[in-house]
Amino acid sequence: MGQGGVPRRPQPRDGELGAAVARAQEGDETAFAVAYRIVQPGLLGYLRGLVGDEAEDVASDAWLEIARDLGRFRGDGAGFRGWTATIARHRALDHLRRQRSRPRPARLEQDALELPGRHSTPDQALESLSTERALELVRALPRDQAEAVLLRVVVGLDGPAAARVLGKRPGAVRTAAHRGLRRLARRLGTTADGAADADPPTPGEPT
Amino acid sequence: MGERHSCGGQAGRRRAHPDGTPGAPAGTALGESELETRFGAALRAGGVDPAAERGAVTAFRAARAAGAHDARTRARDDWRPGRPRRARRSLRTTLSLALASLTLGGVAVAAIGSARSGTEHGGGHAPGSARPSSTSAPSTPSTPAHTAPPAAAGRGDTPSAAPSAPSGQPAHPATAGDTLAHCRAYAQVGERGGALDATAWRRLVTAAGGPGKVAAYCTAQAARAEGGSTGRAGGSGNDRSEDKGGGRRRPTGGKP
Repeated sequence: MGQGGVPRRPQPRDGELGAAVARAQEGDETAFAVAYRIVQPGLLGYLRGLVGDEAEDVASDAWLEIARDLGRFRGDGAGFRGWTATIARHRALDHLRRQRSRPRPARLEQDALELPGRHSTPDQALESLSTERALELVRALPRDQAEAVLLRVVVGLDGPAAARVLGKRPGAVRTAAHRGLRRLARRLGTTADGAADADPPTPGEPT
Repeated sequence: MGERHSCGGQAGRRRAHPDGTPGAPAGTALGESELETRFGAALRAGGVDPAAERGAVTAFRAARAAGAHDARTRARDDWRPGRPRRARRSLRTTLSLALASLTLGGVAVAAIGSARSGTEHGGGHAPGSARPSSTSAPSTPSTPAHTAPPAAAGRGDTPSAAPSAPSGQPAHPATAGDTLAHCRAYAQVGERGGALDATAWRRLVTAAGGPGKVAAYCTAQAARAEGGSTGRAGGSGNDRSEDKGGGRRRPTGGKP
């Protein structure tokens, strides 16, 4: 996905996605599969950040609802990302609510311990960033920051769309995403052999 | 996983960033977009599970067959550019309207409450006026005072007939009648205070001088009433105690 330039968001196939959704709404199941393949990775990444290992199950639930309600949807490819993210989020929150009522042993902390950053520079840490490590770092963020980052970075939503998914004002979401990203950068920097110049607060960074 | 492939190129490209953002310390030197790209790639890694995809397509087919795709678009399904913001605003407007109506409703209810308590305290006759007027227009001693209320309540239509009759006199007989009525209700209902109209109950307790003195007070009142009209007390005692309930709740009881 890493394009050459400096893409604000990974939304490379929105045109294709929009067309596929339109055809799927007319009943084309192949087109629906195409849309699924475009959207699912981001959706799954977002759900992993929310519910961890249960992401696949929650995603399946979400897709059942997406498949059922597809006829209701209005919008383009980018809109479809937002719409599906909203559905997935609701399923994830349902899941978390259910989970809270019957708590289970936490596994994530253990997993996290096995993933030390043994890199000498932040660059290297970033370059060899594994899915597990990235997930661990994101899940360590406060929930609002994690969600803002995930929606922006993983699902590929722009600010207003992410805000709509979260039911917050765009400004608040933008701030949360900035904070989250800054914290991620710092974590990456400091876990890389502790050097990283003790990351003082960024001077005059607009938030 | 999938992101390792680009180590070399990525590093080369990265170098450009600190130059673009001069002065940024090493810890945060990672350009934000760079960071986003890498995190995005890492978290989106892993292909699509074919089984999961089949499940989704099956659900799609089922929904299509069931005609679910003709369902109406709700506000939350409309992601056309431009729409969302309007939708958001209308949501906010809806919420503030709801809040405003709640507030106004609360004020209205509070006003009703205070108005009612005002009439009950200040007016005094408001609840009783209907009764005494029919009752005690003949404001003779005490007999009618406590015989008539039951009658009025029983008939149910009288109160409306003469609500405006006498205004000054009724107060006293009414109070006496009420007190007796409350006493009877008290005797019948006993400790189940909920059955007694709270205001009336409070008034009775206040008049008696305390919850403990109600019984004594009532006895005294009954005795005094008895002194006035001897004959009827026994005869109509039962009716009266029944009426008490009806009398007090006349507003509801009188309607049918």
